[in-house]
Amino acid sequence: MDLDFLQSLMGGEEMAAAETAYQDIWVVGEVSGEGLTPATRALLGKARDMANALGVYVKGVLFSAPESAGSEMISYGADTVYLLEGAGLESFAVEPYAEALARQIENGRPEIVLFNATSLGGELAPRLAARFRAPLFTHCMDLGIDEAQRALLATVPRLGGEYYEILISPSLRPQFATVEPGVLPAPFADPYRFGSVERVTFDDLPAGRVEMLGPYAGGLPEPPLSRSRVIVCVGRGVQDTEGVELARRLAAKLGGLLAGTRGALDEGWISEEQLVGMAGRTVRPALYIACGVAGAIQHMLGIAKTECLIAINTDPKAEIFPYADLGVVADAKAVLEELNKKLDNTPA
Amino acid sequence: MRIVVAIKQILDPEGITVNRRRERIFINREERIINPADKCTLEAALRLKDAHGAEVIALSLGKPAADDALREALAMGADSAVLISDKALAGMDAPTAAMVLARAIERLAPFDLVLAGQTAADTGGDQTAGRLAELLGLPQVLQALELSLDGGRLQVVRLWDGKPVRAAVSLPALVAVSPLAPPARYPHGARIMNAYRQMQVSVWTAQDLGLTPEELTPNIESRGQVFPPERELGTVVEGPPAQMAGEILSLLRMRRLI
Repeated sequence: MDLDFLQSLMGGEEMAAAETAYQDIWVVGEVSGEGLTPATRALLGKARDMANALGVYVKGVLFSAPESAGSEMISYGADTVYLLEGAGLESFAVEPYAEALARQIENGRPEIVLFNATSLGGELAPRLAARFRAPLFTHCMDLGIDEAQRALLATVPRLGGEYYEILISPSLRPQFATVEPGVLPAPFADPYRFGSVERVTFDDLPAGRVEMLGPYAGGLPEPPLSRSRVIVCVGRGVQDTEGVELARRLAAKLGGLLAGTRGALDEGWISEEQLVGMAGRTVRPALYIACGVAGAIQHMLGIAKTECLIAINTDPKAEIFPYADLGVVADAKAVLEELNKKLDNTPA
Repeated sequence: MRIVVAIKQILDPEGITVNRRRERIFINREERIINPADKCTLEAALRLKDAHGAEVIALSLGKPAADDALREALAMGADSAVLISDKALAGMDAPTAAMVLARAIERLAPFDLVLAGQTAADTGGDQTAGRLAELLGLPQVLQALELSLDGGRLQVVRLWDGKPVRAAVSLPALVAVSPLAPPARYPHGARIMNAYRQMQVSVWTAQDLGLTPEELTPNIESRGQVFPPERELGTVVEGPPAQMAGEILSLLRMRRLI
């Protein structure tokens, strides 16, 4: 074995310097209503695991948040929480938020900074990554640590989640990542964990240049069927317009669109644009609920790339069932009614 | 008003099949298209041009084949097109791509508005727009659905955590357009021919932009691919409607679809 290799194993001077330069994992959290968002809690749990592997601290960052949210971060795994405050941070504006966080990062020198892949994370993470000339992994499905290289392993979705790729940036620090909300398991809170909450006040932040004018009330153009994440499809099996209306309501509740088969088009329940299949649109939604659809090959070709297919049909021998993640042998109209009722009762 | 629109050419995801069981990716049909979000971005720029008059410059970074994407943009209504293409730029990572684009946009100055697509349909990347805003020192509005100009200020309807909200920004600014924005127009046949016969796509190299090899060294490596478990199909359940609705909801919760 050659000597160079041994020396590099023992830790060359460069490596030692690099390690002291950047350490700790930071989590930029979000607060909603009474406490941290579920995604923030899950992110803290993941950060805690990775920090244990690296032997460093987890530090939380919150913007204009109450002390109680800081304590909550500690209970989910943070060792220190910075509550960033100051003129310009009362409500979101990208310039002051990014500036405050950038100054905090410059002082604290974390090796990893994690965000939720929400609108807040989506606004801040690229700006900060560009400022620090650092790598950013977006919409990660999982995170890990390469202990040999002391670097973040980010699992990012490719082709809209058809498969994942594991990415690593061995040399650049800090490393930024946004994590898709809802993919990490929820951690347990330990109310007796010890940690400190520090208020950090900034008084000379730049003003935000984008004015946020509140919710938009006007109607939005419906996205085309081919890009909708959720589609509820009706076939002749929903029996009548009442069944179609139930399907439309379910689609609206799930944030999706109504579509139909050739049969539904012939009945006049849907328009030409809503026809799915060989003669109509090809779709690739995350969720496709087929109500009273037999599953003729012309229809199935249009939905071949569906991520999750649920089929409801009275005929147990319907052709669609072998392709469905879940096949339900029941009256589509009755099930739609129950689904709507149950979704009304559960708070969003 | 001068609008720079950054577009990316990608392999059509419709032509790619992923076999999760065999952990292989098959390219069945090698067709290059404009990234869907970027196509919506072009449409947004052209709508501003239709309403207020503007010069739309399409900018792309990629292989020489990306020339087609720019010709398509010209056919749709862009006024000029610039392709940054160089062997030295092959295999570049996201931070470098944003840096190169920013360098090119600076060279296209003065501009009033920079538009980019929010996400790339192939790599799933969701950072170029934000990086460009930072590198160019511009205010940013992301996830935009609709743009309109109102007395020198840009009014934008954008998504914030899935809900539409309004925002306003004065120019110059950067706006990233969501793939859920209105779909693009079809170019007129005569314009398609024109785009190939009469219009020019300028080609810039790394040297034109003063890029050094050190700046272009990639810093992100792939450690391989992971495939989600294959779908298990064909589960069929039977029972009263209320119980069936419960089955459906529990599956949706398990898959995190609600």
